[in-house]
Amino acid sequence: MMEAMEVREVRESEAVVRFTPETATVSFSGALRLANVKAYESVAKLLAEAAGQVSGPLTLDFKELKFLNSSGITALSLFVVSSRKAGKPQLRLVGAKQNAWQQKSLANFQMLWKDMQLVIE
Amino acid sequence: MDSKIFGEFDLVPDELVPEAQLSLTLSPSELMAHWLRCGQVSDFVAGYIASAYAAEHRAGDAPLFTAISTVFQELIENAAKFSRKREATIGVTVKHFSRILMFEVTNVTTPAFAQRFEEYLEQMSTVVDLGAVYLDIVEAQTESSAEALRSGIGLLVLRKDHEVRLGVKFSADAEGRPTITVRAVQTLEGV
Repeated sequence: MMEAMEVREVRESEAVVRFTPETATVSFSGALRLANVKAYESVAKLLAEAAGQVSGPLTLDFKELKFLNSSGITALSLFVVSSRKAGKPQLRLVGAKQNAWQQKSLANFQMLWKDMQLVIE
Repeated sequence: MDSKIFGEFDLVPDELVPEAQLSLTLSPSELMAHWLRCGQVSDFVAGYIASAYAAEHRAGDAPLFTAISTVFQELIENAAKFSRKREATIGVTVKHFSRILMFEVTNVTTPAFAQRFEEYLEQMSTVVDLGAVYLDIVEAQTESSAEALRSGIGLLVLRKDHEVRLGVKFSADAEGRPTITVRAVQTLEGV
């Protein structure tokens, strides 16, 4: 019998990043304002694990994320580029209309991989 | 040392009287030791300004608050990272003019960083397509180590995604140490 895949999460001082295998979703909440790209290593590791586990598309849900600094944008950009180079997983980004910055900042990721889906709810 | 100016440093005339003004002095070494303080001071500045619009938004939970805090965060992060760590402070002035905010952040830096930053600004002064620069920087960084990631993406994102107008002045303090003053003008209209 196969073991159920466990939810994995990374807790930073102001943010939680959680991977839920059942829904193939990595959700971000709080404020990601870490000091530099290196400080995002645990988040990058979680994303790499999630990418390795899903068989179809992976959703990155930013609806509950209030802040993302430029080091975070860089760290996530590097993940998008590595997924594009690997050809998988397909990425689906979800943002919230009330977080005005997300419409522009999340569009940066789509510039890196045109096939990626961006949804603002 | 003669001062040198890049970008829209004199966008807001010095003699213009603001509706609200706020000045802070911070220690770069303390910000680096307790990184959360960058976010705390950004949220404080954002809350201070956003509270003037309490009838329109609830300060602290408003798009305006997030927009201001995000911009200030990038400015204070840069000042903390690229300051001399000892015997130096970061000076911050925030001026609020109706629907415009001007942040002025001054820090004492090293000659090496001043030179590198000046070269970066020289390169950026001729750039038209900021999106293309973002793509180039990220693609180049996939080949670099994380330690080498000092790309100027913060200022680029402010201009590209937050429509902030930036100016930078290079000068020297009383002891002749290189000093950088960044002015950022953010429009609150439409946020």
